[in-house]
Amino acid sequence: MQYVEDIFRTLLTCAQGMRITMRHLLFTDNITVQYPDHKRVLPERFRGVLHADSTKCTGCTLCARACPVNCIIIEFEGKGKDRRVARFEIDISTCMWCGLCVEACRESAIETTLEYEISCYVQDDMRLKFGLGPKKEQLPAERAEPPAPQAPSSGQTGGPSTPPESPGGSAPGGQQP
Amino acid sequence: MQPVTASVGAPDLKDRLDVLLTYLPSFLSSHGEIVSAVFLLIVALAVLLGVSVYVCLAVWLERKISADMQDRLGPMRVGWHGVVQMLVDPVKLALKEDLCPGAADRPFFMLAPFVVLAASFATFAVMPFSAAFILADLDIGVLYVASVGAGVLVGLVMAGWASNNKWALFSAIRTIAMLVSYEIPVGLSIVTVVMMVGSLSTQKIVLAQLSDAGMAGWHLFRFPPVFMVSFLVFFIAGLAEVNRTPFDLAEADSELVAGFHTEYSGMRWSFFFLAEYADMLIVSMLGTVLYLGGWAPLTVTRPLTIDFWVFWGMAALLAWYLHWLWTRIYLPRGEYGLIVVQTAILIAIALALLVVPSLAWFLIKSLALIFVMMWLRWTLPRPRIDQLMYLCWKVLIPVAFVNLFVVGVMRLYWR
Repeated sequence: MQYVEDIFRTLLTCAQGMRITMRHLLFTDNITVQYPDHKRVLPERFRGVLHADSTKCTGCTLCARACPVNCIIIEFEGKGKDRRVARFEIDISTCMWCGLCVEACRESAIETTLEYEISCYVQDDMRLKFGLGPKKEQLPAERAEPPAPQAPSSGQTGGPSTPPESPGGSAPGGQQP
Repeated sequence: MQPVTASVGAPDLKDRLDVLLTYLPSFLSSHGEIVSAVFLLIVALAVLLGVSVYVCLAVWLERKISADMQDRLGPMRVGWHGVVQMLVDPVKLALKEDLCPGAADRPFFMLAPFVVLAASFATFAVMPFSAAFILADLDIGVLYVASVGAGVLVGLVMAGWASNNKWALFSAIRTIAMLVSYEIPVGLSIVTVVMMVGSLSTQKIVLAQLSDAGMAGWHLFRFPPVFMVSFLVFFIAGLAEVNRTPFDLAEADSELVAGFHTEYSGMRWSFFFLAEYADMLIVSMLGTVLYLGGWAPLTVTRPLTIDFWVFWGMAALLAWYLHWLWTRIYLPRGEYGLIVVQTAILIAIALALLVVPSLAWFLIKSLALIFVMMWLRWTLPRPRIDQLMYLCWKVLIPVAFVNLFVVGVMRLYWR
């Protein structure tokens, strides 16, 4: 009896499954869109690429500490009123889009955008640079700097090259992949 | 007149053509068998071409249907809704490199796709496309389909063995186990029909289903529900015969990379693909011939008799009633113009169904069965190999045997 019941149940469940697929074939709208031509409207609080406003940033590094994957590098220089964010880099290839940095920021300097198309040809383009850069008087010193770090780094080939505008000496050693 | 003597030195094209045109008619009229052989060859090539076109169409349809069933879009870029994909896919396959693994058994590896393709294409010879259009109306037509169609098995085993790849070999083993097992329920359900008709000829089986009652003469509706069960057994086992999901254990991509065609590429791979879709068409056509009246039109009555007008008059009344139900809820009353239009449409449908050629009926029915195959493919998951064998040996074969017995008894007493 179990045997006959199984056969009928098989037929019944097959019919149920077929009804569901037919319903999707006929009545359900397609969920996917033709991507580059049509794009879906993103929700307001979509967590896309991070954007940092270095003029608002106080260089407290709360976001860098909150980041579980250490993808934010912040360097600052000067004291008191001269204090400024010289280097503010977010490695978007490491970022896991958790948004903890946004919640940590007290000045709303770092926030998520609706941008999500981040493909690029060079990995270094994945490092978003928001820093104000070194002060003017440091520029010549920085220009003279690159050959010095270049020489040892040429020995260890294959490793991700350090960004050339990194001010030597003041690096906190935060970037060791 | 001898046109040949006119130019002895170097006969140019025109002279040769003159000779041909002078002597060809008398030659052909005295050798009628050559004419018929050439004619058959042309028709066979037409069928081959038609099946290839169908395969391209079916691949595109399968992609679109599966996409829609999964709420996707499917191919959209090439042409309107990706229609031109049908033409682009074969070109892409033809341009790909034809690889042969170093350790493979080269002659068999190269030959296997052609064996599969030849075996499946040869079965089209006995398919009755219409009353006149059948390449060879053999007395053993159905037996021919079952036996020549089994040649696909040889090709698949050749491919699986010659690939020298463990997954391909597993696939070949599964193919043998599956196809040999599922030949039995297919054969038993074919026998029920053959017992009714008393002939193995496909054309005679179709002719036996023609009757004044139209669809009621189809074998599917004979002795309900006996032949419906028979059709179900045939269709399920046929699905397994052509290695289609849910019975595609021979090419279970999550277990055996791609089964017997793992090592194939380019045109040779596409031959397997072509054979799979051709096999689908064969099973659908055979099901149509055996149970769905072959090329018989989809009518309930004999055309243009009193019954015919009564049937369509009832249909019109039903349409009016439904329309009345609809308008009472959604539209203002008194839409008599719509009723006239509806009646006109119904009459047009009734008359259009009369002029649809029998070839089209045959193809429509076959394609409908193919749609059901695709529908099942994107609905059901793949069973385990032991479940597959359980289904065959413990369900389909006993059911088919009981069915055969019942049909025998029915045939004995009710004719």
